[in-house]
Amino acid sequence: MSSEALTYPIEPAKAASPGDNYLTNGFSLKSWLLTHDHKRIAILYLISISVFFVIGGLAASLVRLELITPEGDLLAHETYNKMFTVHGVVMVFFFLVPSIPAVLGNFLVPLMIGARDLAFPRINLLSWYVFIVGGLFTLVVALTGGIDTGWTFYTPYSSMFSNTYVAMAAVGVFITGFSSILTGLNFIVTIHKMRAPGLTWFRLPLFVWGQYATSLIMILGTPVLASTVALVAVERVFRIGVFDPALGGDPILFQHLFWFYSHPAVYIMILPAMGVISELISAFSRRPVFGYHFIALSSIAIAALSFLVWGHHLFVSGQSPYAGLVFSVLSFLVAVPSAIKTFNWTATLYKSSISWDTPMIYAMGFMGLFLIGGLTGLYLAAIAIDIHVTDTYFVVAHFHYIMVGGAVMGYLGGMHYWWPKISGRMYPEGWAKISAVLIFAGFNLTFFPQFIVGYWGMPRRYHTYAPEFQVLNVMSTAGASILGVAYAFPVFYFLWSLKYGEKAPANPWGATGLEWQVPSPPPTVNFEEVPVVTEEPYQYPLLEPERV
Amino acid sequence: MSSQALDLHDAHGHDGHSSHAHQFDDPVQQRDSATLGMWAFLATEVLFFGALFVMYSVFRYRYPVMWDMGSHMLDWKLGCLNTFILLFSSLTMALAVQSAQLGKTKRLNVCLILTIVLAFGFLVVKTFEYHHKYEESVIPGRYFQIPPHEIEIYEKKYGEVFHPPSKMEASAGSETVYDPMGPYGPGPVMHDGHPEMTTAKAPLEPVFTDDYRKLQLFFALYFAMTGLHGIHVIIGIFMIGTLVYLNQKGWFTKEYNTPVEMTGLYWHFVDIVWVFLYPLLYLMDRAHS
Ligand SMILES: [Cu+2]
Repeated sequence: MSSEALTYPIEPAKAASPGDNYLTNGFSLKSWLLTHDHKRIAILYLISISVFFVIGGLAASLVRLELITPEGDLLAHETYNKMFTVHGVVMVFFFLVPSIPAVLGNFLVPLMIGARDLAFPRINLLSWYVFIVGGLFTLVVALTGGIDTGWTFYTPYSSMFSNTYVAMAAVGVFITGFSSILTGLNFIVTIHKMRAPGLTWFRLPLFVWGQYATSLIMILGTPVLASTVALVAVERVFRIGVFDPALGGDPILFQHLFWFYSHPAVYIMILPAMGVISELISAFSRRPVFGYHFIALSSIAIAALSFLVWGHHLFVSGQSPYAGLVFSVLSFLVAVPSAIKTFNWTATLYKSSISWDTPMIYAMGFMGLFLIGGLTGLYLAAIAIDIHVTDTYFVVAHFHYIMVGGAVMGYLGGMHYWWPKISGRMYPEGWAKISAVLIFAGFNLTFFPQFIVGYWGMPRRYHTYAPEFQVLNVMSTAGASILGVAYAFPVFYFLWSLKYGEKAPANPWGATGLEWQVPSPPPTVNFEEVPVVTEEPYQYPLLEPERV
Repeated sequence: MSSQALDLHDAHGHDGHSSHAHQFDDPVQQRDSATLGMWAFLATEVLFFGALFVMYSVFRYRYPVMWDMGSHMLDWKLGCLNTFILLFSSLTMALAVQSAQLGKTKRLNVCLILTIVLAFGFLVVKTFEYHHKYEESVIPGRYFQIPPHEIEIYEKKYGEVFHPPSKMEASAGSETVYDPMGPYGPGPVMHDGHPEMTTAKAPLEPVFTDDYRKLQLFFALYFAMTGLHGIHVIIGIFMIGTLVYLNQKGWFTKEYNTPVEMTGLYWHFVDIVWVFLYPLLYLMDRAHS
């Protein structure tokens, strides 16, 4: 640490007085719907993706309820197919992909890099509207009869045979893709061009590195999905057969193009969560992140590798075995940067002074669940095992450990950590801890049995199953009930805290980072004066938390 | 993109002394951001078209003869004319950017309008081509047909029989031929009702022999690729039109002309895409002759 480092500009931020923050800058509906303020747009996203989370969650509840018994007694099989499809489409495209980038990223990236806003505020607002239009298409589909192809839209079933509203759902996904592209583009330009003086690349918070890597995937992967689903819709409407073998087309080609986006999309979900976890681990163990450079660059490595592994979804689809071999090896390689992160987080924790606030519980939960999700990913990257467990609940359990155990835990951890900054209020710690522990327990009870039942051979996407699988399925449904209740807690106590929560100080956790140096909630302009950064990131121990 | 241009104008119009939007420190940062943003957007566009180019390549590799025939059915002269029109419009666009940088707003105006005229010219030629295909019913889908003289040319050139779909004889274009649920498509490779499992025995040649549908695929991709490109041309016309309007309101100076430059980048991209589309779609049959 250089002597210069001590001059880190930590001005005690002046207390937020009512009337001068972004929340009080206009109360009309218009002031929200036409805002260019990245912080307000983040709130718009927060509300919309929460609605989608509820819709996706309800569909999942019906699926789990159906699976209590081996017979199909609650839902007809068509309805069941529609339910898991709505669950998948909504959760992937309308909750997980936008979750951390569009809510926390939108709110925090400019604050963390000392900028007054994103580079293109109007495009930022536009991307929210695009998201809403795409979402409305999908909602109309869900309400008017659903779609039964699974979230993967595999052809030729989706393009030629399904009697549900595939074309409209495809259009919805197509449109929403552009929202994601515009957000990614905005972040890339902002992070390149708008950093405060002195904030070099290797002084950036790791959250920003995560967002940057994510944005690269968003702008390079999403357009391929857009072209592909657009052609599925065209094929369905005009009956041309690019993906239909009966018309000379090639369904495997669809799978290649679909997974060229949709495997990297998993990293769109997990990379921002990893960024959040880096912030949380450091703040609540009061230690500089161990191996900062490695964590930062491993995000870029994951983004780069993510484009080279899509073929592991095609091991049984008729892909050449030699291609399968290469994709298998490349998929194993993703474990390297992922392990770099996990080991460095662990090293950060080693002999540090850990405080068990709610965000830290989520961070620890993330590490455990991501570990299991990641290691079972290695099972699936191995062709021999993958052939055995393809399309079983083993796969379902694996990607839920990554996408729910990883991405959602990261999102909730981040929401708790930055809630004082976003709302200006503290959430009730007791309730938050209870719900965090319940989520962790409920999650494991839901999905761990699915590893076992999947390994035994229970296929996914059927609404009936062999009776010997029932005990594990009942456990899974019980866990899902706990999870459902536990997810409802934060909705209530966050809303409660808006009125009754303690007023939050500027820096309730005593954390480093420019976002903690502005009042809570931040003023509309973010920074009255452009901050100058003279220090490396994460210089703990810093201030004691200024709890109220 | 047009809204990006708007972003750049944020504070320009209504705030007399500020030449840049509030989120930027100075005009240089604003200009750099816009440039990077446009390049990032073009990267997205490359991938957007990229998926279609991949589809094209896969099927061209698989059905080379039908690709040959398809490209023979397109009018290379009209395509050539359009290539020259677009290349020329790129020149006028480049001159527009230069005029803006020199602060010559009158010349800027002329160049932009010329570019728009050329873009319309491109669309007019394209419309003629589409219309011609429509009249011959060479439109993929239910009513797809191949003009008999094209089949003759094909059979003469390759000394092979053109394979129509089974049962298509007199009923070309009727519903049954194209019903994908019907029994005509061979479907996945099956032996004795069981899917072929061993890769060693899997046929390397596609089992599909129906030339009619292969050709239909060519035209599906032809319309998808040129259609997407055409949409980009139309968007470009709107963008350049906005520039003309803003220029007449006196927005652009020697110091401030980023939107012109950005639109220029976009327009050159549209041009380059066509430079790839033209040989791939129109000139493919010339590779052998
Ligand atoms: Cu994958």
